[in-house]
Amino acid sequence: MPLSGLDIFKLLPKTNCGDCGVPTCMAFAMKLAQKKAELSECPHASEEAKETLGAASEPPVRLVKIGKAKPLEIGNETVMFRHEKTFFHQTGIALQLRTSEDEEQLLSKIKEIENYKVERVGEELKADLFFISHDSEEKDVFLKTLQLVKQNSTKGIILDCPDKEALKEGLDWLKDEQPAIFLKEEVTDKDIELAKNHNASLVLTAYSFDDLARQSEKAKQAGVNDLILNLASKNAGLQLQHNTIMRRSALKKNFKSFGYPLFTFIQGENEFDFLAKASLFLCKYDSIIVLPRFNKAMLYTLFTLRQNIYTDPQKPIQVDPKVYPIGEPSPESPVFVTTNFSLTYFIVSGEIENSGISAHLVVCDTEGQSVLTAWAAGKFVGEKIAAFIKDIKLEQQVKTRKLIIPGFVSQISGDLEESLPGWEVIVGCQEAADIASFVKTVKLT
Amino acid sequence: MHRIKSPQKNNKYKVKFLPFSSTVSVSSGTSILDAARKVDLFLKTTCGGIGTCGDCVVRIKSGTYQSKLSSALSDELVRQGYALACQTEVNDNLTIQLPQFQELSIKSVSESKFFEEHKNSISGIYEINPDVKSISLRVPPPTLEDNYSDLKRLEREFRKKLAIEDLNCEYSVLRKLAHVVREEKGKITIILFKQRQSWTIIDVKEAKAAKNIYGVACDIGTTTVVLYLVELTSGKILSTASSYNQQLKCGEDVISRINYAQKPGRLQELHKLIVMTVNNLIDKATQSAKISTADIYSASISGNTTMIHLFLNLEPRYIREEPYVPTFNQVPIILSRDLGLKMNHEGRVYCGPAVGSYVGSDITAGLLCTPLVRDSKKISLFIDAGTNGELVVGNSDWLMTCACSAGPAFEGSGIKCGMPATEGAIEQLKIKNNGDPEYKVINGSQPKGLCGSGLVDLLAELFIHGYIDRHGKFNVQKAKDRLIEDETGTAFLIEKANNSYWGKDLIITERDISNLIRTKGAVFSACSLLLKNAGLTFDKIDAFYIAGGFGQHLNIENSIRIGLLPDLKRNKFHYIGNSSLLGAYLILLSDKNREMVNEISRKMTYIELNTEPSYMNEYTGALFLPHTKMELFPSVKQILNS
Amino acid sequence: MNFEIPKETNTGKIVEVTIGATAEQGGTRSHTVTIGGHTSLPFHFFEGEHPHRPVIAMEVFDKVPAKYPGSLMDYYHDVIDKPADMAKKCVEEHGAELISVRLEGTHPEKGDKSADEAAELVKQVLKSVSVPIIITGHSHFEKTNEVMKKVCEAAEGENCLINYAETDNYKTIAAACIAYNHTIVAQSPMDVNLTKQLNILLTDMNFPAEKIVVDPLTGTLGYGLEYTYSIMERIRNDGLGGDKMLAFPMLINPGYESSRVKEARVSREDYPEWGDQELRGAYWEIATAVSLLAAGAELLIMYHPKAVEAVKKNISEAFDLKNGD
Repeated sequence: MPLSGLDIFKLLPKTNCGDCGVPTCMAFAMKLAQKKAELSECPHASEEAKETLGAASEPPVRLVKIGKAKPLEIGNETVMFRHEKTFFHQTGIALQLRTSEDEEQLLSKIKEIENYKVERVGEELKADLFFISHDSEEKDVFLKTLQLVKQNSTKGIILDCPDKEALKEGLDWLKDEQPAIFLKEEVTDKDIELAKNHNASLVLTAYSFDDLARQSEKAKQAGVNDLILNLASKNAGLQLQHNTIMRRSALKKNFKSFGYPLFTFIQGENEFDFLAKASLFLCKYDSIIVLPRFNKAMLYTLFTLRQNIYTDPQKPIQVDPKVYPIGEPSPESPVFVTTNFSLTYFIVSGEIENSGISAHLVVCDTEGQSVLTAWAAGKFVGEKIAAFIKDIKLEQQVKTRKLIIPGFVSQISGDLEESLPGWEVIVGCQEAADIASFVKTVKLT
Repeated sequence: MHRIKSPQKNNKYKVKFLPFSSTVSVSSGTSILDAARKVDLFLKTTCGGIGTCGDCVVRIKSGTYQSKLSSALSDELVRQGYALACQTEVNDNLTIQLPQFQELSIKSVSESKFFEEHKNSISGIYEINPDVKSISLRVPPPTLEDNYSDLKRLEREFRKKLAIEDLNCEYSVLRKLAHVVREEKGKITIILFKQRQSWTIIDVKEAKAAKNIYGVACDIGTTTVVLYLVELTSGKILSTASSYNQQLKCGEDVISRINYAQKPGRLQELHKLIVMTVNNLIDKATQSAKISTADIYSASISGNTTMIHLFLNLEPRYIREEPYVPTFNQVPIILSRDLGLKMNHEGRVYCGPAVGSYVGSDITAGLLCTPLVRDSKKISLFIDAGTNGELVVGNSDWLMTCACSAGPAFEGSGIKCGMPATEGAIEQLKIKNNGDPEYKVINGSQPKGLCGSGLVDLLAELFIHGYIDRHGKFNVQKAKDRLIEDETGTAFLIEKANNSYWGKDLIITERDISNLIRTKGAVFSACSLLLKNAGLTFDKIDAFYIAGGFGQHLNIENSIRIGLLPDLKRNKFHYIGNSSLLGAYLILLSDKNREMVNEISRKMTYIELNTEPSYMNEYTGALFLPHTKMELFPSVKQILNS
Repeated sequence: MNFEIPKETNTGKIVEVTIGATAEQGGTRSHTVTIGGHTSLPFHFFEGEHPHRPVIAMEVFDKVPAKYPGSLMDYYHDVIDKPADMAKKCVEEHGAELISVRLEGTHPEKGDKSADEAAELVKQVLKSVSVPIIITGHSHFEKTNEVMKKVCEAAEGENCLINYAETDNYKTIAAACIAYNHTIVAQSPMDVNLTKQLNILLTDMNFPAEKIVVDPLTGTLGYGLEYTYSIMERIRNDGLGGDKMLAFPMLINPGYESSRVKEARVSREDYPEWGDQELRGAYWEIATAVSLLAAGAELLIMYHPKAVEAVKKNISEAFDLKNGD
């Protein structure tokens, strides 16, 4: 049970001395409860406080890192549902490379995957890992493939290599790369030894909870604590149940053997089936999914889903501040203005569209705040809106000089008109739901 | 040289608007409504100025005029000099009283039984030990042997009475001193101001000229300003005066005022308006108590952070901008003459401490009037529902506070027939089985509108009797006999035009109901969220103290039925009236309270609800009667089921 | 030590809602479709009952949508303007379990077709397919109210799913549903409280609980999906936790919403990094549908045949082999 602010406050000195950088002990206690501060920032904390708070702060799901330069971090999750807090470390997406492929083909594939990136809402999205499956007979081919990947990519690596000799040489060669070793079979002492000596994490595979728990316990006892769990399942529904049960055991029952990130190699009938499964496991608790093929449309879809699911629900999501066309606006179509809080944008744009008219929707930068909040904070006021409209050169894009502002900020109409000579500012309705009826009552063109 | 007189000049008339003393010169034929707008006085007009709603009623005190006939104004009111601003043209110099802005007598708000009954258990100290004192001395005349200076002799006599080390003297006192000590055989009265261990002589008088000394306690609200005139030696409140804040014409809420202050010269204007408002109240109070303003030596002011910034002529813009930081938390003692207050020119002005941009000294001072900070075991909640809502939870160990933009609906603003708790307001209301409302009006006259407590009753009664659904929409089937169509939509008739003071129907519209639900929702959701932040639930709260301008008879039962207050044992709730004013009064009476209020402000942890992600969820949950989660209101559920 | 599965038992149960009516029940459908009835989170067969599978409806139109993507037109070009034929095709070739008739063309700004025309169209669709029917309106309340009244009357006894009522018009739509025996969709804009409030308002006017389906408003992938996802998870959790006013089955619109976004419509040439356009359209719908299935959706109105196939396949596999034996 996490401690509440008040629980923690009772453990603090209650002097409001401010030495921790926060004005009151209560404020500091609340920051501790939200994990936004460390107890060590309070120079006067008692031993009792240190002990109690220390026990409450151990992560129930271990944080595991793969890769060197910018390692992929997975795990350290604390909730079953994103709305309870947030999911902290987004699912890593790995692409499979087979050593049986022709070298030239492999090289071009590696380069293509390495160079593939796409931007969405200001974030650069790309694949995280290579999953290298050694399915040829030749040890050298395996080492050659590693070499190709290392020379051409900075992504982290998961090694799927049944030939333990080849694996060892590969690991020697990848020293300091923090790779992961994928085990298809039961974990052996040899695997544990390899992982320990090469600072690698282990992906454990099993077909039952008991088996997986036993393997995880064994690895941990032998000193490998960077584990990733793969419970093979017969269909998507079962896998969802397995993943849920393991995550729940770790979070709610403090079952340490399952307190690690989860893994799935996506298998399916066709490209559509792949995506259906990958989408489901991305939502329900997989920290790594491996895709057998490179497909831009699929990656872009999964990147977008990942961005949606892993975005912090406690932070307002912003849309890019700019002019959005709604319907098929002509230069004479009216201009609506709103803030860049994404929900506001979605609802306003949807309602304008539903009203059947076409319009330009100017979305101002309010740092993701909604209309009234942004207005109260001085971010959605006449001067700033006018400056933005000038900035984006709206006057050159449209002929209309009618600007509709949200009804809740009717107060700014005077200032806005003053700062935007030549424009007529129309005070719109308060609720987006009323846009359809509002557009009928005023002459907009 | 001959110049032709401009013919227009003959047709210009001066119109003076009271209570603002705003004067405008307009061409003949201009409507009073437009004239008022020229000086930024925006009168309400629901009908858009076509003479049907009757909202823009004014009273013409001097000058001749003729109005178009309108059914919205009764003949009786026309006889009394009332006219509709939109239907009356200016053709003479006029003096016009604006009832929308007229002075109030907010007696019922400021008089609180709670304070009288709990004087000895509240957090503040009820003692009469003000920091301004008068002491009578006899300063022996100087002789060749005793050739100490006048001041030295005075000090010597003073120290015989009080062993004070650190004693200072104002320059203005020195200028009078030689003369005063030589009259009446050296019998004098000195007025001293004490700050910590240091004393300063701020006035000296001949004993015979000396009278009592006085102070004022004043609550500067966004909408209304209330003032007590207090006899400092006895603590007695000699008179109470109140009025609208004259800044109202510059915007209804604090954000609008801050906004208004952004143009050059406007901060100065707002500052002058609030000083003028306070000075008018001082005038009114001193006239009624028949004392001189020069005998007022001390003022204790409380108000929200923005109001205090404007009162002190301080730049308010950073209050609204992230990270929402005000100029001050604790204000130094200020000389009355620096502000232009109508007091003794050496008078001392003290403004209470603010916690943050949206929790000001109205709250810190208000806490003095509750037992909240006294107890280390019990946890209490304090709610001040004014134009903004502010909340405090805690005990003597810790205090957490937050603000929410509740909107002024419970002060009567933003509601078609809403008004402050003043003469003519319906303060209590019941709906009888036949659908007729039964009500009580403050001072018993014909009703002018409803104040906060009346609106709470009305909403609760409409809901419990099924005239509105849980969403606040009329149940047409049930309410059809009392529903009328108005410009703003469907409305419920409370009282017919011929029985109301202004001669127009008293109604409540669906829009008003939405507004009230939004306001109560904002207060309730802020409460739940504040408690959540502290890791508490409502049942852990031992006492609720409710302050604000509802009116003296806020019905707790009905407040719970509409979901403004949580469903807990009724005896946990206490309506404490205008605690900001009472807090200022306590600070005026004893400097211990000044220290205590500073201590309170340091202890408070301010939570910013705007950045709280779950606020929206709490809020939409509260936008229902009594709440989306009925299980939070078991007693209301029981009533509805029966 | 054997691992013990941590089960969570819920006090609540999702209301079972049946759509459609057979001849015996006063309609003309060959069978009915029932959703709801489960007592644990989606696909959590290990800790609750799941008597009914999530179902997929496909949609036909009284007017060809302005933003209909080319990738879908490839499948439907021959029937897109013949809704009754398109309905048949969706059922017979693509496995639609219900048909939604979208009456967007009755919107005053989008064709202003009459209520009579709409009623006539619904009758045609009822004739051409035997699966249960959803009737989908629009946000112009005055017109939608008028149209729905007429359509409800024309389809009397068929127990159609009338999609949708909102806080502002629920009284009218609910009254029509009661009068002609139909089921209702209660739509609220992505908010748990507003969803609950509308359900309370409906049940307060004695609307039967077993005739309510909730639409939390679908934000498609990249366009608000995260809101819909979390709102649905919260609704489902509260409903299973015992809140009866949040225990209704949920409907979503991955087809309509995904077909309108840029990602479903722009070409690979213009957006090379977005990959193949034909795949992308279906993918967008699949990702939206699957993630919301996991969040609690039980009735999905979809467009793309490939998306329908993939989603249906995974639902079937899960339900065919609930506990792995």
